Amino acid sequence: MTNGAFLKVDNLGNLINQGFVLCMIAIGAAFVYAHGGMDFSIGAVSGVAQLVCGLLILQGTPLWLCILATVAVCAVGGCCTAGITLIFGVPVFIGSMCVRTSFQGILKTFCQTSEIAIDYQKYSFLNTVGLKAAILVISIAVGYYLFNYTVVGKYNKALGGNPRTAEQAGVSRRKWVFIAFLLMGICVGIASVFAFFRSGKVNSYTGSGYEFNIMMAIALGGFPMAGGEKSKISSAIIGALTVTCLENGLGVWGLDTTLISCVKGALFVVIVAISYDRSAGKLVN
Amino acid sequence: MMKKISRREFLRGSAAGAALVAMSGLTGGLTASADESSEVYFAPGELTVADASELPTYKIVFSYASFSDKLGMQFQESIQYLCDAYNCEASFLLSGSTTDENVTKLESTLAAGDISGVIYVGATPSVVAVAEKYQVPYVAVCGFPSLDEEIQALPNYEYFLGGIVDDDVWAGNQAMQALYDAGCRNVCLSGMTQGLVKSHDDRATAYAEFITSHDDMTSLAESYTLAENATDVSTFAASFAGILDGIFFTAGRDSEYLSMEAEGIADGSVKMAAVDISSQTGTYLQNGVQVWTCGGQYGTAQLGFAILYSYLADGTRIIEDVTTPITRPYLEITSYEDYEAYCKYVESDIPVYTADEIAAFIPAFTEGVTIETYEEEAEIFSLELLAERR
Amino acid sequence: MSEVNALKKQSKVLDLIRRVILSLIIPFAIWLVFAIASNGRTASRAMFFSVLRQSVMPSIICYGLMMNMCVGMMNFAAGGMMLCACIIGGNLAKASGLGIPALVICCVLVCVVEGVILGALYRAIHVPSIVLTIGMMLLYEAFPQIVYVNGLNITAEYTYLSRAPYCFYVLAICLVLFYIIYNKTAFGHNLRAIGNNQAIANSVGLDSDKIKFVSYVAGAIFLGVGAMLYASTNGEIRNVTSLGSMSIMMDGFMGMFIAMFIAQFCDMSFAVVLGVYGMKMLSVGFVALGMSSTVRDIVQGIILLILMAISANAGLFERLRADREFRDECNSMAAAQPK
Repeated sequence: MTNGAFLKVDNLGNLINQGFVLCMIAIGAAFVYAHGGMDFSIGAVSGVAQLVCGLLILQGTPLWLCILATVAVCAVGGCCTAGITLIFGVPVFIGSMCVRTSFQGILKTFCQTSEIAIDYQKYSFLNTVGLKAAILVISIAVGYYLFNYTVVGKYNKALGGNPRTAEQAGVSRRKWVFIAFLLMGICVGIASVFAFFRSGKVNSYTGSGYEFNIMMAIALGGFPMAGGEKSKISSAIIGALTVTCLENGLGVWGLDTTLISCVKGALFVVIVAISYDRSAGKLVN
Repeated sequence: MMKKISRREFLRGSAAGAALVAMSGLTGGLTASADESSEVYFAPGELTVADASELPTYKIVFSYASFSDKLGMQFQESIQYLCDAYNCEASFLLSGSTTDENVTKLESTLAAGDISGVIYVGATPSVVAVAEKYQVPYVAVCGFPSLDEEIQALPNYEYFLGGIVDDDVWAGNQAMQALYDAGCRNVCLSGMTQGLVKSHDDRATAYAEFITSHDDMTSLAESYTLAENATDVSTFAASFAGILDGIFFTAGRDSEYLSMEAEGIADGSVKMAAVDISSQTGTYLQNGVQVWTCGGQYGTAQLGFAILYSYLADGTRIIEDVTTPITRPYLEITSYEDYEAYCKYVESDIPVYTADEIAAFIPAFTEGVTIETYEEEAEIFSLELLAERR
Repeated sequence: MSEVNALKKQSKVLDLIRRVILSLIIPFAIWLVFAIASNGRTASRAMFFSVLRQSVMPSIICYGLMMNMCVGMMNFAAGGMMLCACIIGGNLAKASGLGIPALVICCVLVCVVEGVILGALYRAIHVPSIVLTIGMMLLYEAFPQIVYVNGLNITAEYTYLSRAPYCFYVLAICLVLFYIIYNKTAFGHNLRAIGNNQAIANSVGLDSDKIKFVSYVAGAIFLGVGAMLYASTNGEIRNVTSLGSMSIMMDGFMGMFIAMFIAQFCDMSFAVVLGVYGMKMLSVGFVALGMSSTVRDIVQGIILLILMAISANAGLFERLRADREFRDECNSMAAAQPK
C-alpha cells in the first residue's frame, strides 16, 4: 500500500526513532500492569523530567548529570504514585491522577512565560538510530531477565493473579509494588531523555498522552490488563511496536489523520476483543 | 496496488462514503450550509500568466493544528485553491499537540518519498530537521520560534526557506488601544495556556505592556486556559460586577459572546476585543459590544506558498536571512462597515490572493521579485487595498 | 412509648442536620476560603449563581459517568460521545428547523445510540471498560469529522437552555431523574448491588452483563443532555482528534470523586451537585484572585487525594483500636493460662 516506502531503510530507522519512547516505557509498565496497576501520571512526570533536563542543560550542567537528573525525576514521580497509593490506601488510579495534576501544574508554571529550548543540533548525536537501537536492545534484555527470572517479575505477577494469596505466601505487596513503580519510573526517565533530545524543546503539553498510548500498547499486545501469571513483557513490547508501526505505516501511506484515528480505534477494539483473557472466574469491570 | 486515501477521496469514492455524504447532505453537512460563516469555499482560480497544464506537478504538504476550525478551513481551502491553479497536489497534515508528535507525523509523511515541499505553521528546529533529512524545502507561515536558541539554529538547515508571519504584538496593541479609546479602564484578559502557542503569547504580552504603559488602566484578572473562554467571562462578570468594563480575548470564539449574553453584560457595559473573527462578530460590532477584531491570516499562508513555489520553480530563495521572518499586518476591523467589507473581500468565493496575484510574487512568472516585493505588500496590505484590487 | 417515639424523631432530625452539615462542609469550606481571601468579592450572590450555572453541565455529565462508576466501570469515551452527539445531533436539529426541542431530542438520541453501541460491545467482547472506552473514544471523535467536516455552528436561538434560569430547570429535571433511577427503580438497586459485590450479585441471579449494558444506555441519556448544554454554551463546536475530547468531561470526572466522598452523608444525586460546585468554586476562585490556573490544578489534585485518603481509611482508627483490644485480650488470656 505504500509502494515499498514503509520498508525503506530510512523509514525503518524512523520506526526505531518513533517507537523508542513507547517501547522503553512499555518495558517498565509491564511490571506495574503485571500486578494489576496502572499509572496515569506517566506523561506529566515525563514532561517535568524533560523540563528539568532542559533547564539544567541551559545552565551548562554536564550532560551526564542532566540525564541522571531526568531519570531521577521520573523515578521520584513513580515513587510518589506508589507511595500515595500504598500509604494512603487510595486506588492507584486516584493516586496517579493526583500526581498527574501536581506535575502538570509544575510543568505549566515553569513553561508559562516561555518554552524551554536547547541547541537541537548540538545534541543530535543522542537522536541517532544506532544509539537508540542499542539502548533498546539492552533495556529489553534487562527487562526480560528481571521480569521472567527474578522475584521482581514473579512477585508482581503473583500479586496480579491473587493479591491475598500472594501476601499470605509471604510476598510483601508494598515492597514489590513500590519496586515496580520505581522500575517504571526509571524506564520513563530514560525514555524522557531521548524524547527531549528528539524534540529539543519543552512546553506546557510536553509528555501529554503517554499514559493513554502505553495503555493502548499494552492492550494491543495482548497483555492482560488485570495482570497475573499470563503477563508477558514481550506482549507489552510487541504492543508498543504495533502501535508505532500502525501510526507510521498509515502516515507513510498518506491516510487522512481522521481516518488514522478511526483505524486505530477500530483495530484497538478488535485486537483487544480477540486477545483479552476472559478465563472463568475473572470479573471484568 | 491500493491508492492512498484522503478523507475527500474516501467520501467521494467509497460506498460507505457515498452513504455518509448523502446523509450529511440531507442534513446540511458537507454541502453548503445555511450559516454564512461555517463554510469556506473558493471558486476555482485560473492562472493566466502560464499554462498550468504544462507546469510541473509538485506535491505540497500543509500542516496546521486543526482543519475543522474556521482558520484551518481557510488555510486548507486557500492552499488547495492555489495548488489546483498551479497544477500541484495538496496534502494536509494535522500537527500534533507535542513537538515529538509533530516530528513523528512529518517523518512518516515525508518517508513516502514524493513530497516536493512543506508549508508549516511553526518552525521548531527538530521539525525543520526532518525536512532537512529528506531534502524537502520548508516554509514557516503564521508561526515562528520566539527563543533565540531556536532562531539561531535555523540557518543551519539548508532547506529552510524562512518564514512569513502575522504581527501578533501589533494585533494585541491595537486591540488594547481600541478598548482604551472606548473608555475601558478596568479590563481582563482571557487567553490560551501560556507557553503553548507563540502568537497567543505575543498578544498577551502586548496586553501586559499596554497596561504597564497606561497608568489609568488596570488589569483585574488574567486567565490562561485551553479554550475555556466562556467560563472566564462568567468568572470575570461575577467577580468584578460593576467594575469590569473591557475584556481582551486572544482568540475570538462564539462561546465568548454567548457567555456575555448569559451573564447579562452584552448590553454595552462591557466592551470586548478579540483576535480572529467568529460567526457572531457582525452582530457584536453592530450593537457596539465589540470594538475591535482582526483576521485574514490565510493570505499569509498563500504568500508562504509563493515563497515555496519560487524555490521549487527555479531555486530562488526569497528570504536570505531566515532568522527574520517577513511580518505582515492582520486585516483590522473596527466597525460593522469594515466587517461587511471583510466578508465581501476575504470570506467570499475569491480568496485574499488569486492565482495571478500570487504569480506576482514568484520570480519564475514575474521579473524582479525580491523580498522587498513582499515587504512592500505588507506595508500597504489592508481591506482598502483588497477593495481596490477587486 | 410516646417519649420513645419523640426521642426517635428527635434523633432522626439531629441525624438529618448532621448529614446536611457534613454534606455541605466541603463546598462551604472552599467558598469560605475564597470569600476571605478575596475580601468578600467571591461571596456575592452574583458569584454564587455564576458558579452554580457553570456547575450545571459538569453535574449532568457526572450523573452520566456515575451510572457506570456505580458498577466500577470508567467511561473514558464520555467526552467523545458528547462531542459526537453535539455535532451530529446539533446538525440534525438545525436541519429539522424545530429549534431547541429538536436540539435536545437529537443530542440525547444520538448519545443513546452511542451508549447502546458501547454497551453492546462491552457485553459482546467482555473487556475492561477502561480499555474499551479509550478505543471507542477515538472512534467517536473521528466519526463526526467524516460526516460533518465543519463541526457544528448554532445561532443564539438554540442556546437558551445554557442560560439562567433555564439551565437550573434542566439540572433539576436531571437531578430528579437520577434520584428516581438510582433509588427508586429495580435497575438502580441492581446497579448498587453489583457495585457492592458483583460475585454475590451474580450468585443471587442478577444478570450483571445486562445491567451494565443498561447502565451505559442510562448514562448516555445524561451525557446527551450534557452534550446539548455543551453545544448551547459554546455555539461553535469543532472536531477534535487524539483524545482531545477528554477535556469536555474532565470537570465532571474530577467532581465524581468528590461526589463519592460526599455521598456518605447524603444522596448521590445531591452529592454530585455539591461535589461539582466545590470543584468549580475552586477553579473560579483562583481566577477571581488573579492567581495562575496551574495553582488550581495542583490544589485540585491535593484535595482529591485528601478526600480519597479519608474515604479509603474510614474506620481506620476503630479498626486499630479493635486490633489493640483483641491483642490485649489474647495476651491476658494467655497470661491467665496455667503453665
